[in-house]
Amino acid sequence: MKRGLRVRALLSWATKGLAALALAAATFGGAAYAQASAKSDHAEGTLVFERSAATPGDSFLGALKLDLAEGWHVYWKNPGDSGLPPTAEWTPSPGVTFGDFRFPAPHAIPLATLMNYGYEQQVVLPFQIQIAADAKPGTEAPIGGKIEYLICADICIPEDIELSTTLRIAASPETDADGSAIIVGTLAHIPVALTGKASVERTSTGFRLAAADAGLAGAIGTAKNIRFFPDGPELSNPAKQIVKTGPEGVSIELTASDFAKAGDQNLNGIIVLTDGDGSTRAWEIAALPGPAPAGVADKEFINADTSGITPPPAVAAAAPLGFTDLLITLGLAFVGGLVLNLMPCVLPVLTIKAAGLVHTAHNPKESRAHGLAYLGGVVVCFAAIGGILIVLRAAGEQAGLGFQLQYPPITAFFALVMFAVGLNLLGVFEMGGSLMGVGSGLAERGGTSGAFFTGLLAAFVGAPCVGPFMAPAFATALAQPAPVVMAVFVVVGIGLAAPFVLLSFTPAFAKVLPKPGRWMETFRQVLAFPMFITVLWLLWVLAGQSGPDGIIAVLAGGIALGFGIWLAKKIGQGTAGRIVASLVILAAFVVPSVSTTWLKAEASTEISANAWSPEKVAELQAEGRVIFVDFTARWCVTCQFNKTALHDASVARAFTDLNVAFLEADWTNKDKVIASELAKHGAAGVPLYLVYPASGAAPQKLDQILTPGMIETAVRQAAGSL
Amino acid sequence: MAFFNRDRLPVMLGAAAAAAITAGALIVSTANAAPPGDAAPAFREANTAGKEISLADFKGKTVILEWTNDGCPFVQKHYNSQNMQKTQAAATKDGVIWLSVISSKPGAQGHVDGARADKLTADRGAKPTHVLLDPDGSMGRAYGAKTTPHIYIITPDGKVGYNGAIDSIKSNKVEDVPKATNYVTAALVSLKSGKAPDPALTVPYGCDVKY
Repeated sequence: MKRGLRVRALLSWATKGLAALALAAATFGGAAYAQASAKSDHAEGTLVFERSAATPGDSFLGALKLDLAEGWHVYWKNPGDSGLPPTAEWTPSPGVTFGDFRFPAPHAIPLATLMNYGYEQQVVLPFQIQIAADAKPGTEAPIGGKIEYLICADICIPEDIELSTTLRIAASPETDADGSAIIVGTLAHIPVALTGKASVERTSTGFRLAAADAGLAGAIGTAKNIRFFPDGPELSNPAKQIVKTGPEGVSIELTASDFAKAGDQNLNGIIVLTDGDGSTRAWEIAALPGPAPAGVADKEFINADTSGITPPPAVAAAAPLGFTDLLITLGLAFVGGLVLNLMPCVLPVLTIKAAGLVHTAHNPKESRAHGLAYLGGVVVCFAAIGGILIVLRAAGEQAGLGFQLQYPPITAFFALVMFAVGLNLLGVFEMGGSLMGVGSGLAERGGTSGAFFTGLLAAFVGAPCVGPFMAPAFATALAQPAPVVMAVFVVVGIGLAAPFVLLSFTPAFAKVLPKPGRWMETFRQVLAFPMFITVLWLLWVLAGQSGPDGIIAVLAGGIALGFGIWLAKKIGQGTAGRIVASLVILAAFVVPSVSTTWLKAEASTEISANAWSPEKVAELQAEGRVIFVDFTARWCVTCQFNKTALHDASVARAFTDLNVAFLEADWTNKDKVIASELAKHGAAGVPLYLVYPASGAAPQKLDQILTPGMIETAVRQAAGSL
Repeated sequence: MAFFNRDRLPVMLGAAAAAAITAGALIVSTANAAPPGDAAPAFREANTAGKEISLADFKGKTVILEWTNDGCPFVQKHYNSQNMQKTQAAATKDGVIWLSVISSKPGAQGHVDGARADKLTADRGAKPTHVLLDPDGSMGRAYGAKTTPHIYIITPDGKVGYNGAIDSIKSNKVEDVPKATNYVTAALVSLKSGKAPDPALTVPYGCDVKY
């Protein structure tokens, strides 16, 4: 398919019949005799030459000048992430040889998350012209051909023009003043060979390129921007380049792409220095592996124009935290962990721990051992969650706190674990002691591993609830390097475990507690019921993920669990019986959990009127409405708590009066759009409440614990009625 | 009488096993993967009928992802020459799943709704298994898709087998199609005979994806 306007432009007077007149014009006026130009939809191309007359055996420069429509660009020889450079297909002309285009220094042109290299407004591409030695003076050589270029704004259009002119062959050369001026102008921007030395080293993320050269070093003083443009694909084009300078030259930290080979390799391209007035100078770089020369990295060079575009938020590395900031973040993490002890989602598990504490309080040694085991369990669980989160982030996945309950198999599995814990508390499987054939007399160890298990559970249910105090600290921390993320998670765990560890190390505490006795049996049985309530909550979460079938699967698992325990009682004395009962119990956990992978909640065919989407927000903002967005999830207990405030009569009245649009973004299941929106507003998870003012300005973020008064005030302010 | 003693061992072992299974599945399904040899990033996007399609739906099959934009001259090159349709037909006939992905943001060139996408498929005689709509660009970014067209081949074991251009000649000209080596066809032939595609990684060419 041919696109683009085709124009055959001939200079009317450059014909054989008017050769004499042409000669006169060229001689007297220095006018652009040997010129041809043509227009396409978004560019005008012109051929210019250094000579108005060439001699046999002559070698000189011609150039293609492209003037581009405002906002459009064409490409450098390496176009970057997309695009194509201009090409010429010269019409064969006896006695004339055409060289390739030489490309002046390009600009970095960012496009969303991609980076292109090219030219805006105008580019002049010189090329060599060689005249055969046997060319006859007094003749004319036709010069022309088809020029093709991909020209892009937000869209790309391939355009082409045909240019045609003639060049006079004479006994002595004649200079074309206009053409020469244009060509000399572009030569200033053509990369020059490096007289010094260029070297390249591998770094963990890519390359460190160094170039020591007197001319380059001398030009640094007036440069506003320094950038390396690679010839090949081995670099990430959009990645920010970190430039350092010294008295001998420059060094640049570059990020590798998938095309970089492992280990040392050559790196070719150009280093471009741009002055304040936009003029460029460039040096050709053919760097060989080796250490950087001295005097190229004394101080950091800050590019005035940060043409490295910001990577997408998911992988954005936040500015590294200073030591003080790190301490503050870790302090907040500790406080957040402490506060978790008061969160409704951890409370049921904590009651088990509390009961354990009562039990061991009168045996200081056992008490301490259990305290430490519990700490270990909490920390291991948080470290595991942190580790998986780091892996997910590295994989470009948008994961936030509480992500573990976005996976139905985990929710289902966890509901069954809670159910089993409840049964145990009721004493249902006291007698299954020899199920796995473990010898007796290891009760001590059993108790310690029990404490460890309690810790795991507490941390697992606790993480989605990390809650109000933690969210800002976590949002910052999650963007930090992996070791910092890990440290934060571990410290949250220590905070969560701290109260119980302290108590288990305080012998005086035992005196406050009553002596163990029959009451403990009753107390323990009572604790089964918070467990069953937790099961109910998890089933409700699962209902939103896997629908009724998921619930049925878990209930079936519950029955199988009961059956397995009963079986163990009946036939658990023999080895075969033990194996059968264990298999049934294992299946009771694994089968329902895994089956939820294939079960999906009935996707509601019509999108509910108030479902959030970025487009919906934009649409409502355009209408000048106040918008209240509730980022929520079924597994987020704080979110459920806040529903009572949201459904308060005074809030409903305010919403009606002010015509507030109420949008809900439900993050119960994984959703990349919601996750990236959360990240955009600095939230590490749900809840997040945003109020967009009627003016269309940026939204206001509400606290994570809502009160009806707070919501009303926020929407009235947003409506401009306060 | 400890609350947790060896009585609970079976439960705990069951718990550990299931936790290992779920965690393993989770990591495998989401590990990153633009470069060949890595696990292909998981995705879940709506097709033109509004049905959510995910990579997990095609376990054990070869899956081809083709980033596309009907307004892009490079895409037009391969559709007007019937090159893309032929490549699609040959692949899908062999049981390969072909997913055309549109990551143009709303308002940008190539952004279409399901009905328009279906009409394009019908008008061009294209043969994808599904056309996926990714207007937020999340799938495109997860794969690092740069251009239209940009092709990824995912092998039956869920790894990226090929990442790059559709063929060897970087141009928008239909007449270059017969002269070029079709990398996708070549990669499928290699994979079928149990060999790794060579090349497995090429520089894609075309218009930028309109994120």
